[in-house]
Amino acid sequence: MIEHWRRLVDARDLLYTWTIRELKVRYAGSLLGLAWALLYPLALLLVSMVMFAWFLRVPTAGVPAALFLYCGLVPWLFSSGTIQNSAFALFANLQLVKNASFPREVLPLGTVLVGVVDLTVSAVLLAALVAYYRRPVGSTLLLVPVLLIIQSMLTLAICLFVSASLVFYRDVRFLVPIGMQLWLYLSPVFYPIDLVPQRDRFWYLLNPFAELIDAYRRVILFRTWPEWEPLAWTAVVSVVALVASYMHFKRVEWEFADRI
Amino acid sequence: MLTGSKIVPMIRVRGVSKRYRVGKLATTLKESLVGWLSGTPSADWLWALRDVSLSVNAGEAVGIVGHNGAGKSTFLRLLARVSKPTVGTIETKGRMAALLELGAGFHPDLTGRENIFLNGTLLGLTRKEISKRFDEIVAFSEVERFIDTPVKHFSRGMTLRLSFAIAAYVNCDLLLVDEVLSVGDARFAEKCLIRMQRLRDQGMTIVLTSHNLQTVVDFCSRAVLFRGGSLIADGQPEEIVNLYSNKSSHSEAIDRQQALRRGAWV
Repeated sequence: MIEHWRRLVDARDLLYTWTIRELKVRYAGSLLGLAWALLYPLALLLVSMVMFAWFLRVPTAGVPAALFLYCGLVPWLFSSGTIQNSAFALFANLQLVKNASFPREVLPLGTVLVGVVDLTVSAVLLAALVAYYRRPVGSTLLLVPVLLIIQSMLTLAICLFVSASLVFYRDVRFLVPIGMQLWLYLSPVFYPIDLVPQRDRFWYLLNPFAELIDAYRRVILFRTWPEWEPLAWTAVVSVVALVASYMHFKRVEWEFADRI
Repeated sequence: MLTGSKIVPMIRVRGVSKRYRVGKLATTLKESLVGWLSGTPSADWLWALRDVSLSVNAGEAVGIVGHNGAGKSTFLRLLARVSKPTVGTIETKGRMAALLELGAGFHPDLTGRENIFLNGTLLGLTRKEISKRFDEIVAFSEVERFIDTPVKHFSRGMTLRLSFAIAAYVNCDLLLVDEVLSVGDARFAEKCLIRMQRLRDQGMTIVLTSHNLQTVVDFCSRAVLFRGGSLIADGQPEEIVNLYSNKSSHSEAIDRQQALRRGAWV
């Protein structure tokens, strides 16, 4: 494990160069370029406004619906977008994997870093919305970096697993979007967690993402601390998932070059 | 034949075999489920390398010759740590750079400059080291005018030159080159060869495969012959090249070689 980590640290310049490459390649040839990192969540916000605020009138606990929905969408899009992109991180670059020796986790890791860039852009809009609606914020904002770290670990764990799986099983390409769709509705992105009946709450919160989204809303919009017990569970799940996923990845990475 | 200078083994390959799956691979869940339930193996095995052992010392330039499918490229891939041997061990020392396929790390939408950094970091250089060698790389590859053009507009020759130039300036201890000199025009191949001779004279260890037997004779200090996944002969380049090209006395010569090697081991 320490040896893996050392090799990865040695490859940090490659990780940096690869991330820049991914960003450039992604926006190369598109007219609006990096503006898409803003337009995409904005478009989704508008669609969800129509659906959930206008048609379904989901209760938003006194917060403007746009703010409430967007505060859930931003973290959700970071994870779901990153996971869907990372599925192809190895598969789309097998030619490289076949001809160069480098720690393979650089490729999915690069996708996560690109996701962080997108997240930063969409978070600027969130800050703008908070300011626009004159929503007071407080010291609870200090927890946001902690939530981001937990979420990144969980996301990276899934990315490593999914990208490795697609090399062996092409089915993963179809399973990932289905899984993400299901996961979206099992997480309180478009509705408040209060809508989940109390007796089902225990099972509902086994989904580490449920607590994360709720916690973001609490600390950003409501100036309250999250419930610590489910948050601790989420943190534990994320760490365990990341370690297990990384170990699995390093065990199978030698087969990538042979499986094309 | 000790000459006083210390002999440092750079590569030590012991009893290496490599097995690949051939035929239809189970690449979907259904296929592997069906294969697993019915108990039939989903693919056949092919031994691309069988029990190869080789030791290369610092400063040697080893040429690998053999027909297509003899296992030369597989062997280089294993040395380059792209893939792992099924059986056996491989130890290498020092910094290694491998040029297995030209332009493999290039992205068509990125410029020559960006691709130099990408390829260089893939070979294990830091961005700082690349910046330091950037001008040399560009000058060697002769693509100065197009360095800020996306490589999709490069000709095949330009891609080849840039790709070789990066590997040629890595400053590694061990350079692996697969069938690269036979591509491109004769003038540039000559230039590459001169550069590699210089690297060799500076003490770099080089392992290359080539179909150009003259290159092997001129450049290498030692050659090995692969056939059917086995390393069947090891010796002076002239001797090995003759063995390889002289089909009539082929098997006879091989027998003699193997007898020699057995004799050497006993």
